[in-house]
Amino acid sequence: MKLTIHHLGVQFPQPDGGEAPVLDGIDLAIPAGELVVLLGASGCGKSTLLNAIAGFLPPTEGEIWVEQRRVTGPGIDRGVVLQTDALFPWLNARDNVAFGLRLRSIPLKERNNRAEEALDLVGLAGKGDHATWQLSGGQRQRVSLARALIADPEILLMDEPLGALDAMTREQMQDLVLEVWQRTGKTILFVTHGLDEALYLGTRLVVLAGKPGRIVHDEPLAFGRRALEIGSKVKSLPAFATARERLREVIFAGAPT
Amino acid sequence: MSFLSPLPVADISLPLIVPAEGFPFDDQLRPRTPAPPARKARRRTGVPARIWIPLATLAGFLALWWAVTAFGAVPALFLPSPQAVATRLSRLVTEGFVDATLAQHLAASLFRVFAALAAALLLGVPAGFAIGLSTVGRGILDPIVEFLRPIPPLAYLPLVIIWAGIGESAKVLVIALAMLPPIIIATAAGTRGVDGNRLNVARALGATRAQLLRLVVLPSASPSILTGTRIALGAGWSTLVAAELVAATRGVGFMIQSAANFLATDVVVAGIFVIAGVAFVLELAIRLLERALVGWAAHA
Repeated sequence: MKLTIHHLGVQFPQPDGGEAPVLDGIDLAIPAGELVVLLGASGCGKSTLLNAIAGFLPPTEGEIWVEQRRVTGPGIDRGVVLQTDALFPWLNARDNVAFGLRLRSIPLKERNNRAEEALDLVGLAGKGDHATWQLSGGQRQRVSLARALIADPEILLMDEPLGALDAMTREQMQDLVLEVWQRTGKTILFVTHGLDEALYLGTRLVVLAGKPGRIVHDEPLAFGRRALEIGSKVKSLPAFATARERLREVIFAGAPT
Repeated sequence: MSFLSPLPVADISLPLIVPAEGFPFDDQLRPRTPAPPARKARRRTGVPARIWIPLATLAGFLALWWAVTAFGAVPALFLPSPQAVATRLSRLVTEGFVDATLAQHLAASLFRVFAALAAALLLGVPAGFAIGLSTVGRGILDPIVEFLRPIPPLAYLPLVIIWAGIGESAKVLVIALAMLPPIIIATAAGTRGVDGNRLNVARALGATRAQLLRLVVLPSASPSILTGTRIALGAGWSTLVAAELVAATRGVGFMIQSAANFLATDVVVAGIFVIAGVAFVLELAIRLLERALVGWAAHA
């Protein structure tokens, strides 16, 4: 397994001295190369789960493993793309992408070459010299994705990366995520609150619900791989509509199947 | 000092709120009437209002000044005429006053201010980091800064002289003490304002603590640090005259002080203009520096 989560629980301290449980008893195993979509309503703890996997947040109980290594903090084996692109505005697009290489003291020339390759991969060839504020929202997320990819992580953690984009840009970016996933073969954990997005992208759907958040549903999906062949036509397949209706009920019921 | 800043310098810390094309409401609320045929577009060839109004104000003051002195309303001992001050200013440049030319006085003053600025930055930026990043650092330094901040430099000048003597170091020390609080407070604010997501992304890319400080926190805080530096330069330059009161032989503040002893009012007035002029140039310089170094902050 690429990523294994054992009985993970997270509690946040409250102002009154108590503890509010956010996640409880999360068990999840993700094999290499999957694109797992984590779906849930706002406040169900899906970002908390992603932060715990990224190592930003120490779990209250349970363990997280990447291959045979236990997660104790952030590490370059797990790349992150966040909803707010969190680009460094004092650097241009290329230097933003190359940031991870700069941390490892890789020579400037190699850094720039690899940053250009990464920019090319996300469809931003030739935009390296642009300041971040000259880029559109979608382009900024592309830079953010390239920045995460350049460190060659084993898992890509994406926390509602398309949530702040307009509908048309979001559709283009969904296809980009699929394309990058296919070309790099990365294991991806993609958090979203959009059911259509989840169905379109995922090879597997994990639904988080309740307070504290628990995994209430987990099933394999076929549309992500299909979308690689026929693109957004997937969304018009009868099977897509059927799956959508069925999952809507599952999510709104919040009950385990 | 900043009321003398009418030049079109973009203030990046205060972005314009009104869009350049104006507000659209007016046009939308009114019923559409066909545009008047061939209305001549008024072509603006003159100087824009934001430039000519301040210039006119200055000219007005100058005219008033000239009038009250020319018609003898105020004796020259209290207020010399503009012409007398201008003549004195040119003589200050060529002949000087109390054994030094204006350039030598200015050089002495600028040296003190910039030496103090260097010291204040060297101490203040790390102190601001400590306050912004660590609870312990904040606990130790915050009370000191809050104690120092409201005290006028003139109040601790005697103590500084007792400690550091009447030499150059006492003057630099007083100016540096006046500059420290704005730099520390601005740095701490900038450090606390660092976006947590940026820190997290950098950590996920493998940044060590030292790399986080150097490559994320420092650049994030740099617009704040420069703003603090701008305020500090103003504070330091204002403290200069007080610092040069004691046992100085050079300096613009000293020049004004000794001129006052000789009742050379024209030198006093000329000196005041020099101080204001230098403050204005410093302000311009640091704004240009801000635009060059942290121009991104205006967009981010």
